[in-house]
Amino acid sequence: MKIFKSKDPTEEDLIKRAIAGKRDAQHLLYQTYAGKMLAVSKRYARTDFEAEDMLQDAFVKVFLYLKGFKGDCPLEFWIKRIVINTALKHQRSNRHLMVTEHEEEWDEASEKDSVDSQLGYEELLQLVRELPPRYQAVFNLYAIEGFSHKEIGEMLDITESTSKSQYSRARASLRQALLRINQQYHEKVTG
Amino acid sequence: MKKSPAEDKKGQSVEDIFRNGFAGNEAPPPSRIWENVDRELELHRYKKQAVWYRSMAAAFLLLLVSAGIVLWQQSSDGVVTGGNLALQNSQTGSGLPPAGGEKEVTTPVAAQEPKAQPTPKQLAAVSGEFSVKESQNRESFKPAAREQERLSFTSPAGREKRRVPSSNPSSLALEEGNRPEPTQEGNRGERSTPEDNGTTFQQRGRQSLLNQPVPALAGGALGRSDSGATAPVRSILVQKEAEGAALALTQEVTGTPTPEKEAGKLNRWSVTMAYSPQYAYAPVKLANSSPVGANVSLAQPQSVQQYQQAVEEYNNSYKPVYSYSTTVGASYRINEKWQVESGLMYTQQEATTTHSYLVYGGGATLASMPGNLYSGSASNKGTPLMSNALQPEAAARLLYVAPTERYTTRYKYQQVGLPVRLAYRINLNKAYALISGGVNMNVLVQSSIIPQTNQVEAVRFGLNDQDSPYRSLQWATATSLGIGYDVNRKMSILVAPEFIYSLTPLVRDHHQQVNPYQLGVNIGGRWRLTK
Repeated sequence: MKIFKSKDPTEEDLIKRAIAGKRDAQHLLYQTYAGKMLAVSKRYARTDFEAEDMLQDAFVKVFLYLKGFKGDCPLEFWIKRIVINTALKHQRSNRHLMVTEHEEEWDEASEKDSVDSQLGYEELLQLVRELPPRYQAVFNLYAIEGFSHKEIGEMLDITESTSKSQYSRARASLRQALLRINQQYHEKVTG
Repeated sequence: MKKSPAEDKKGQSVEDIFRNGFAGNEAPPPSRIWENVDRELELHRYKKQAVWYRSMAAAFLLLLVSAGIVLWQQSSDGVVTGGNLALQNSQTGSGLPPAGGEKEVTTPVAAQEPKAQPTPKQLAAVSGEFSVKESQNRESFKPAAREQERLSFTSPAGREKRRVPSSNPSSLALEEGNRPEPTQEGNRGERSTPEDNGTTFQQRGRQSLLNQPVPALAGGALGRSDSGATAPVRSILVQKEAEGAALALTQEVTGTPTPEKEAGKLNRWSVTMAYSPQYAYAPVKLANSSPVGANVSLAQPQSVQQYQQAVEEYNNSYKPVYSYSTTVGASYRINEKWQVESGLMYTQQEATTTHSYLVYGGGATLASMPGNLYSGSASNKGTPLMSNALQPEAAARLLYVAPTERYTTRYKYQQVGLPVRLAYRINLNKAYALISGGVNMNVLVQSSIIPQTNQVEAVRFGLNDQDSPYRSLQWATATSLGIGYDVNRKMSILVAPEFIYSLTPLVRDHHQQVNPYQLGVNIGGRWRLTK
């Protein structure tokens, strides 16, 4: 255990030491990425507590499997992928808690449809969390993380077309929610 | 956060709204998440180590048992001579083992006799070994042997019953010539000299009693009958006679055997297991005048005095706590008095110190201090005084010392070792005294410094830890004087006070440690590998 250091270690050094099981190096890596990764897990969770559980499980995996990190991508991407996979696993294990979606209530909107909004992070996060879990995952994976529908299908064990369909519905739901918020705001302003 | 839609940017897609809204966001995680991660990792590490230790123990036990079985078999093979072979044959009731016995029986058939006759040279060489010693007893066996011989050659039933399909007389004769003493029976029909008869009749008498099927042994009437009804009665008698013959032969061949000699041949190898509670005195002294202690840089002037007090408190509060070692091994008796022992030993030494100061080597506490040169620590917890003092890098770094409530630090050293002992045994009827001495080669697989407070981080060093201040390989001498008791022929128990003196210090810097030793009491058992 190196307690004294003359300069900040590089990420490569930290990784090596973390692989060797040095808790101080692991803690430094954790401190570097935990904030960003908690933001990621919050998008997939229904509550903040669930997001924290996901983050905890993910970081345990990160340190257990860090030896498998080849360095062919930034460490942040590698950790993020683990966080996402852990979140999806959490969702699968909580499948029995998933509510039945009322798909017919939503109009499928074209991708060209635009909407006006300047909602903050917390409001947007709340809107995503209100989606059914599977739609929440598909929307996050496609719109935010940038995975293709084919990749999403493999990750969620669904077909590509199902992913497209669910994404479309998720998007329509969010668009309706944004429009509804806008409308409520206008009504409030105009009296 | 919500703004008027009138102020909103127009024409954003749903994806853009969420993508931009989530971009660059971070949420500070609660501290309990890291604590949980830390605990999970520690648990995983513990499980991994437990699996490793168990695997090692299982592999070693398997190796030991396998070696024991092999040695046992080898030992048994070496002791089984003609008499024992005869005894084995009598017990199996089917004559000699198939390879030699069946061929031997078919040889005397009259039609095969000319081809099966061995060379005189072979006969002389084989019978010569027995002609002197066994001449005293030959008379007692002669009549029966002759009668038996006659019966065995004339009884068609016996011949028929003992016929082996693939016997080759010429090769058989060669095999018999090379065979050890019990196989002389195969040549009995061809011998003519009186000296040979003296020995071979005795042999023949025993072997033919053992090897003949029941009808051939049962005298004239039985010899002409294949009736199985009389066989059991006769075979019991035959067994008794054969056992007596086998015993006599064993005694003749090996001289006059005493129980000790017999035990010496059969019981050289023992499996030993021992458990030893220990008092392990191995303090690592820290001194202000030591090379490391003198150069420790302290962040504040008042810290110098506090650091010295912390060191003094550490040195004075060292207290060994319950330690132990367990050994699984093997013992080999060179002779009646001397034996060599070795095996695999696991040792766990523990000690505690008490502290009233926290020593910070960095982290949040030190990072906030003026003039701080260090900012790389992972947490704002203190570090154990000992690990600070023994770190070579500590000399050029800043430390910060702060008083706190008294707490205890536990030190745990886990070693796996190879003990080698030479022991001298003094027999006292069923009890015995055992004086032994030898060396231990120990590998320090893990050392832990575990403060009993959450203000100080626990520190652990593994086997291949380059940063560890401890030596991985350690040597020690061991002497013990114990009293044992033979519970029965196979098992004995031993209680032996033991003194172990370390030849190499625990830490790499040899100035830090003086005369570490262990006192323990071995409580163990040993099981002889014998039939």
